[in-house]
Amino acid sequence: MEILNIHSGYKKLNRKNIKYSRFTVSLIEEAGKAGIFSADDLERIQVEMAEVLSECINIYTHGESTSIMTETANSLVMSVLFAIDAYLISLGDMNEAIKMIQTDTFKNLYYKGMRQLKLLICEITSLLVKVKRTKIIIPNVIYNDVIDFRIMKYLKSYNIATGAHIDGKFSYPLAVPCSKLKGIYYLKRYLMNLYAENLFCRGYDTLEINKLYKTLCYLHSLPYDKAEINIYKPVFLNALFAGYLMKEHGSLHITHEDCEKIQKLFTGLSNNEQTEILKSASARLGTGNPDYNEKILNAEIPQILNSIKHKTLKNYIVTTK
Amino acid sequence: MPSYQILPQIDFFNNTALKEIQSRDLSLQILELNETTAEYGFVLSEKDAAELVQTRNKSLYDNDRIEMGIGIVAKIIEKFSKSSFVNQSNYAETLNELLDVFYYVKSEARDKISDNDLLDRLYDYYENKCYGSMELMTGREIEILLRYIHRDKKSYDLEEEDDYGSEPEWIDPHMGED
Repeated sequence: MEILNIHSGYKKLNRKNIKYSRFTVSLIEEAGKAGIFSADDLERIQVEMAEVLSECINIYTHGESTSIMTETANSLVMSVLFAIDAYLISLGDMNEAIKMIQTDTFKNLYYKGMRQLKLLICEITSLLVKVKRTKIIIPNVIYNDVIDFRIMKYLKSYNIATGAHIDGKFSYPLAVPCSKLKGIYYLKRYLMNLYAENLFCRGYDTLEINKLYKTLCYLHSLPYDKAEINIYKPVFLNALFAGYLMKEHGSLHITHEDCEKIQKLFTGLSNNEQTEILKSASARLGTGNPDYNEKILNAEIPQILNSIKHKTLKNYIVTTK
Repeated sequence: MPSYQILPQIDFFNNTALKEIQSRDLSLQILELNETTAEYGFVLSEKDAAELVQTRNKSLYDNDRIEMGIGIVAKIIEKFSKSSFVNQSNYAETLNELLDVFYYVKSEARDKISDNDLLDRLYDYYENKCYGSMELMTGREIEILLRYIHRDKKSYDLEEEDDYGSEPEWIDPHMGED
């Protein structure tokens, strides 16, 4: 169990109970348990939180109502705490975060949180530009729509003051999902991953990618232009095996014979040896973000090894006769 | 031992300690308004103020609403202390009833009507249509108003067929004359 000793003389703060998804609340709870916050501190926090909420109600209703439905109030509290979480997490130190809660007003923490979120939006906007610049030329509506419209639509409607915690849902699936993240953090990771995927695909010929994706959609009986299937993953897997077989650079074409050859080459090797071969083949690809490629490879290795073992690799990757 | 079970989204609103602090402050704020309303001859006692806070809290709870601070209570006091149908003996009771009606309409209307618009409507009904009868207002005008709001009517002025407070046109002005 990881323990963070905050102040000598206090009970130890159990770091395991401090969740990033509800950072401020769990930090206050733990600091309360450890005796770091006095009863007065806790009362002050609640009164100040009520003041912040009152201001939020005013913003939310444009000054037209002093009361709101409980459901809306809950959402506003989540938004306020999301912003405060953003600021306290950005400090990068729990001791510092506790000190801030003790010495600063909740209203200030909320404002600082909103500033933090604004910076994040700037970062996200520049990431979106990068994603657009590296976009794969493919007639898939789901992919194009997310990059060209959906993300911008979400950003335009994103309200730091009253809806900071609201998630954007994008139908184009990533090879490495980021479902654990919330609000604007989800979008940032989504774009980072999407950029890594685009960057990788840029190392390959557009026609090859389109041909591969079309075959994949055909095999899944899905319309090529509307399929909610990730583009990067099949490109990466085919590139991995094409690279292993030392095919022409940029080739994604794998035949049934190629699969049989790979299966033969892997025969008699231990799982560790097979994993090492795949990892070095991935490292040799030299395109995209190596860390991201490694993530997807690590996630796929069990299934790759299993398909090689059962001689079904031709069904696992996109192949032609 | 300090209470550390604070701030989780739902519990924040049901926190007894916070409610106590708020209720205490609200009662004081309500009593401060006596200075203004005294010139119209209305004063609330400490007991009245505490009762008004209690009504507010119960009504907010019943109507699934949240309000921070004195909010609409001050506005209702300010507006209705000028009413010609309110007197010191029914002052506190009227305020309690109005508060209850106010939150009921806000929630039933899904916040489609602003505080000021609703307050103006209630005052108009009370003064000009129901002549100080809360019973009439809640049983008749409020339901009509909600119907208008749900219909997204631009104006909440009573339509002729709904205006029971005005003299019907079909009444013969010479009726009763020889």
